[in-house]
Parts: sequence; C-alpha cells; structure tokens
Amino acid sequence: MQKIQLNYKNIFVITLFILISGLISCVSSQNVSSVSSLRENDVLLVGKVIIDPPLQSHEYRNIITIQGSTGYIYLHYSNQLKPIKDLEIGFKQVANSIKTENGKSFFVKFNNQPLYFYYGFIMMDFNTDTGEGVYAYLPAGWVVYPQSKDKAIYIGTIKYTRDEFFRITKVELIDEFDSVSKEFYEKYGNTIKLKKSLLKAM
Amino acid sequence: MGKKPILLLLVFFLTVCLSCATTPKDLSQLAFIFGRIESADGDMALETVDFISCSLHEKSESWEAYAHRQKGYFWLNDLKMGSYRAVRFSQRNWGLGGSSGSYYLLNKYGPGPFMVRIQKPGVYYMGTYKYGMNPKKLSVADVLLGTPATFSLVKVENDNPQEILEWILKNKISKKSPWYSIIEKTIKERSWINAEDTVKL
Repeated sequence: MQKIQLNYKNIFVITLFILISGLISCVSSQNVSSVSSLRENDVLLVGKVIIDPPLQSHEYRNIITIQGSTGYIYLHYSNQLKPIKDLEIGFKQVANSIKTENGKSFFVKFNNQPLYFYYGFIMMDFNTDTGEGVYAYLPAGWVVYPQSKDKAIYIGTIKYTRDEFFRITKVELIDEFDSVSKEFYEKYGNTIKLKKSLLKAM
Repeated sequence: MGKKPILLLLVFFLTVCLSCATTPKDLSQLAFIFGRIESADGDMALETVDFISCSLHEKSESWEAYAHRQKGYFWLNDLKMGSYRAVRFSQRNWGLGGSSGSYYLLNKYGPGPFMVRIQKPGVYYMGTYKYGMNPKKLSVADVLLGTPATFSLVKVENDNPQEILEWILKNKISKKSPWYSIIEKTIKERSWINAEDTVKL
C-alpha cells in the first residue's frame, strides 16, 4: 500500500512514461502465427485462462503502458525456481509473461526449458500520481517440464473464480485437451504433434 | 403565454421540490457504516475515507465518508444494499504556512481492509485499523521520480466500536435524523453488524 504526497505531480515524467510505454508494450510472449517460426530448441506452449465471472469492460479503463495493457491476463514466468520477495510488476515482469485474453487459447513460443509460473495479473487502471498500474492479482505456483523432443505441449486450462471484490475464491486446472487440440490442428495443421503435459504444483 | 400558466407551473415545481425535501427516507433498504483508522505515530489528521461500490454487473460508484480528524473515526450513511470497500484515505495537516496532505492507497482488487457486503439494512462496523509507514532508505531515483512511500495497515484487536458509535451519535447525528433512533437502539443492544463477518470466504 502506498502513501502519496498530494503536492507532487510530475506531469512530464508521467507523459513521457506513457508514451514510451505505448511503444514497448508488445514485449510479452504472444501467439505464434505459424509453426515455421519455431527453431530447433523451441516449444509451443498451449493453454487457456478463464476468469469467472468474466471481466467486463466497465471494470477497467482502456490504457496501454510499459506495465501492461488493461483487460489482458498476464501469467508471469521464469525459467528458474527462485524465491520472490513481492508481487512486483514492471517492464521485466511484463516481458516475462504470457499475455492472453480471457477464455481464448494461447499458443506461445518458448525455449525448451522448465517454466515456472509465479503469479498472474490483470492491469485494471493506471494511477498518474504514483506512475504505476493498478492490478488484480491471480495466484499461480506451477511448473511445466517440457521433454527434449516436445514441439508443442498443452499445459491445461486455468480457471479462476472470483467474487465482486476480485478475491480469487477458487482455482481449477481443467483438462480441455480434446477441444484445444482440435483448435491447435486447425490452426497449425499436422506438421507438429500436440502433447498433453498439464501444469504441476511447484 | 399568460401569467396564470406560469404561476401554475411554478406552484407545481415548488410542490414537487417541497415534497422531495420532506419525504422521510426509507431506511428499510439502507445501511450505516462506521469505523476507525489510527496512526502508529499518533499524528492522525484524517480528512476522509473514500469508498467504492463493488459489483460484477455495474460500474463502480464512489463515496467520501465523514471523518473526525484527531480520533480517526469515519462514518457514512444511506448506503444501498450491495458490496463496498475503502480504496483510500487522506490526511491533511494545517500549519502557519497553510496545509499539506497525503493520501494512502488501499487495495482496490483482491483482499483488503474495510470491506462489507450489505444484504440487510442496519449499522455495520468496518473495524479499526492502525497504519504505520514502512521504513525505507530513499535512493536518488526515488527522490527524482517521487516514488511513493509504502505503509502497512494492521487490524486493532482491542477496538471499541461502542465508543465510536456513541461519539458519532452525540456529535454528528441530528436528533431529527431517522438514523438517530436506529443508532441509539444499536448502541443499547450492541447490535452492530461486523462487516468482516459479511465478507468471509
């Protein structure tokens, strides 16, 4: 929680920040359009995140910053297992996140290494006084270990149930392999095989 | 247009306005909330506490609670059925050179203090919390960018809701207000509803 001095307002810094943010907001891991972009040591991670009840447009203000774009779901990951001090969100965390939309499958390229998911977040607003985003957090704490021969793996559908305060009341990992793999083969054809490798607790 | 229709219109509007002003509030669907914020440093100068409505279906609305500067008491009446949470409180200190203020941001999403789910009319106690600044050495970047300081908020266990409510009733609620008798009865019966119980997971 933060204390703000009312007499502080550095409009120049904030404006500059938002402008730069807009330019470099597309750094998160995003969908791969073709499997031809996969290099030898790459693996395509396939999954889905559901927020239930879904996020409504009246709940957030449309804005794009270095700390994320409002309305999108970010799943922050690392290739290393390490203790985290706090739920910090900045350029680094956004760059190391899967950016996805509620209820839509994601198809994201990674190096074939273990992937640890620490926490998720949704940017809901931007506070011009603090120069920081206002976030709803999503619990995580999962890992996936791709095998060396894997080219595409399905990690599961993460379903977050929330209340009106945006407290997460339930987290479920649902196996939707059949429907998602149908979507996968329609999108990429049969050149690579989708394997099921559901997320595990860290 | 002659004078008569204008006069009739005027009488009509005056009647409507007067009837609105004198219609007693229907408290059967409204609630009163109260609570307290203390400072660990004893320098409380509470200006206001801002609340928002929390709904999955409607856009948030906001309210400013009334506050007692030194005691840190706050209260808000006529809240409709629904869910609410405090999202910030502010302090303002007055000196010879004018005033200086700060505001303190609370979680807008997820768990947090001062949340309530009002499903029946009544008087709701939001709790007493004590805040204290987190010690932090400021870096050059912090100073240049004006990085906000952080604070913690801890629930006070030996709180006294009766004392808060008695003070509000005695000093801030008019005897003509429909809330007067309700709060008086609530104090007598110690029947305030703990807001925390309404939002338990």
